[in-house]
Amino acid sequence: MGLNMKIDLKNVYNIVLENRQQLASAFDAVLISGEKIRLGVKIAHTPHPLIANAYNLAFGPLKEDGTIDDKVRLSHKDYSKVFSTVLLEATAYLEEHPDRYVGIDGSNNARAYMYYRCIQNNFPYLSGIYSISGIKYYIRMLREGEDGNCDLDTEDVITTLKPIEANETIKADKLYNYFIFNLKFNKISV
Amino acid sequence: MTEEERQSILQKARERALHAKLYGTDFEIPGDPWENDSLAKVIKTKEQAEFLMMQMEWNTNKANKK
Repeated sequence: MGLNMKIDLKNVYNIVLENRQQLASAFDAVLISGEKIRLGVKIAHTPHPLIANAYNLAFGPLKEDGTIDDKVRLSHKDYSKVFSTVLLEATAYLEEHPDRYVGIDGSNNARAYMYYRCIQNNFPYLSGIYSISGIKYYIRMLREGEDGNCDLDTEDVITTLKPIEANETIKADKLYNYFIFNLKFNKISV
Repeated sequence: MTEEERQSILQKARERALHAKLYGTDFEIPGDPWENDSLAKVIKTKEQAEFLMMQMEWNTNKANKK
């Protein structure tokens, strides 16, 4: 897992498929094995049901039916390049929609932790471009157990977003499970 | 990050957006746009939505009492 990613939006994979509304694109990433795998990036058409102006971004390998498989675990040769590519796609979308947020769901604890570590490790770089917030929503309820029951921690039900700060300390079991970001400053015309 | 670096990155993003507009196709990734979102999974049914609303109300009331 890429916990030591160094985000660099100038070191990205080439986009091989793209939607003219920037709601979907695809690129070929290289795995440790040397094999190439096509990854899709998809931004939702509709906003998040509870977070105003936030549009969900999903990415992962494309399955045979064309949908994104966000559960598979891959060993990327260059995690930094994969995430930088996804982030550049999101940035291009935000350039066109400066009033919106793009959101990324930490669909499990490991992934949420990886995103959070990535944000913290690259905070000086990322905070120069984006405003980033974390959200914890019904976190105990969402982490559904294998038996189908939800363990709801009623002391930890928080739906407000919180700007992420450099070097903030947060316990792993209280970690955000959704991250949203938008461009930090007003768009400057060129 | 210097302002020059920042502008350089945003310029690259603008170029990506322009490229998509000019050369993009109807390429779509099928599926429910929220299928990968854990909250959306929870609130897909009316019963689940009602339960969430009940929890929110309960939590708000609890916070107001403090």
